[in-house]
Amino acid sequence: MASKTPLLRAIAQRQYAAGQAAAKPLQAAASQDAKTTVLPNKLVVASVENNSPLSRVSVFFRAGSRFESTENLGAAHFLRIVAGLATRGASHFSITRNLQQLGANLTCQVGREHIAYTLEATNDTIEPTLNFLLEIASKQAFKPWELSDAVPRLRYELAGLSAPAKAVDLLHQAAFRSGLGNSLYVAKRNIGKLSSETMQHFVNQHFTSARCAVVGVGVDQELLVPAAQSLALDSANGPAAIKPTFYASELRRDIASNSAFVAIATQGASVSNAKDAVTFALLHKVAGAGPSVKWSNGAATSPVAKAAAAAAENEVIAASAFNTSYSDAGLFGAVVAAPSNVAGKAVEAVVRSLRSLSVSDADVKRAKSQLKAQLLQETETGSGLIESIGLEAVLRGSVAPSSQVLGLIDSVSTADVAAAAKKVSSGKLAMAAVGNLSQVPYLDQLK
Amino acid sequence: MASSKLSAYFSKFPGLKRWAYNLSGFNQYGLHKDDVLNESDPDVAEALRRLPQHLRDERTFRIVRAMQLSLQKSVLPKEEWTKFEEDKKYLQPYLREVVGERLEKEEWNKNI
Repeated sequence: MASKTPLLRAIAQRQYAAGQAAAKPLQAAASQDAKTTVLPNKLVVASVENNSPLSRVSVFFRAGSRFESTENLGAAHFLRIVAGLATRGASHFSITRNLQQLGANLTCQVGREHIAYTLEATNDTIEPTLNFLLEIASKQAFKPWELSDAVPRLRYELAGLSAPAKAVDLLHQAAFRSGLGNSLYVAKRNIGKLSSETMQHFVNQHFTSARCAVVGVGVDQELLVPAAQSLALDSANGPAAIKPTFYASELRRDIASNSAFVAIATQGASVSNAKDAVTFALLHKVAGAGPSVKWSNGAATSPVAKAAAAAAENEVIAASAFNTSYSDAGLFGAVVAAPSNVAGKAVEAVVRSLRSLSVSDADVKRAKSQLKAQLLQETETGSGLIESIGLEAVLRGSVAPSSQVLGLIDSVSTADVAAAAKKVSSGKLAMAAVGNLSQVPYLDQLK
Repeated sequence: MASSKLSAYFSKFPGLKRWAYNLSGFNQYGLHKDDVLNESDPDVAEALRRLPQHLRDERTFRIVRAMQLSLQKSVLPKEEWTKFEEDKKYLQPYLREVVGERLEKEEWNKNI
């Protein structure tokens, strides 16, 4: 049956609604902003109650791969693999069955700076499952036989690593060497060597309340605060990160392949200076951060991709700019995937284009729209939102409202972005290459 | 149930336990009680798998020595017999955990 609403009124309403939408400034609803509490033991609790039927709680620690030393290289990767195994209070079996029975989902994620244990459950089952999350995140037992049973999973992951991922990982090793340069993945020589004691030592040192954040999406702050208080953690500050220094060096891994994957970068911006970080993020979009329309080659708006395509002579090639920011350092550059016979020319062309990025007002306008859309898209899903507020809470100790970030993007001028481009044009390069490297130039051959 | 009650009863008489231990004979081969558990029992097999390497090596040594002695139809000199007080129940913590895990699984499978 048709609607009983008179046609005119429906039109009026619709137009009114459309007008409202147009007038609305680009910002998230107020309820999307995080509530933050800092406990006396310096643990940060942040939550966004967006009334989602699905609740997510995440425990973050500042304990990623950059905090590993030569002895425990790969500890962060192994921690991720063994998440959910027996704790001091619950067996692996009981954790699995209890969470499964309540429809909950538990994941563990590791970055260079953080590790995050995330629980997803429906609103009515988040409370009974929360204790399991706290157990898993803070009371690991590391039973030796369970650790050795998990070793094949480490090998499986290493075997499945894609060449581009390896190239970017090697780029970090080349550029920072230790600390931030540590691989996200376990060193082959350490497979099966990371003992229960090594892991326990790493956890005792780094899983402290001063390095921890408990964040939630779709849960009430009143539920999270007592949960965070019940985490039995040491309150020490833990070891400081190795201060990253940028080295102009290169790492090459020649493997049997028809293609070459090259990652190349200069110093970028750290998130400690928010405006710099945003400027480099904009420059990333100006230089071309991969195609934004499905199946398009991205060369239309990307100087980097255009340069690579021109050098590739009818071969299929992919190139995009690359930008990453950590709490005290950053990398800006490009990644190239090319058939081995044209890889050399492509890399040279990409470096030339990185060195001579022109920044116009129109470019910056496009970059701003793309960056805003990307940020909003990322934080629209619950999993994206919890990762974003978790990282902010654990690395900076506070969570900025999204409107503030969007305002910051608007405040960056074309001149700022051009200044960043100038830095890139004269900065030293670090480089990593994986694949068939017969044609890939060495770092000292690149200008 | 009954056996645990019985064992609680006998623990009131430590002398009796020692007498029974010495009577069993495996100690004359230098074995410990946990060396003679049934290895084809899945619980014991799993507990043995979890045993740290050095304890497993010691156990293997004792078993090999006992086989050799048994072949030669002899036993160790009396001063090398395992004494009741020196019998290390090295497998028990692992075995208890394995059994606990199995009971937990059985409980879940019964109810759900």
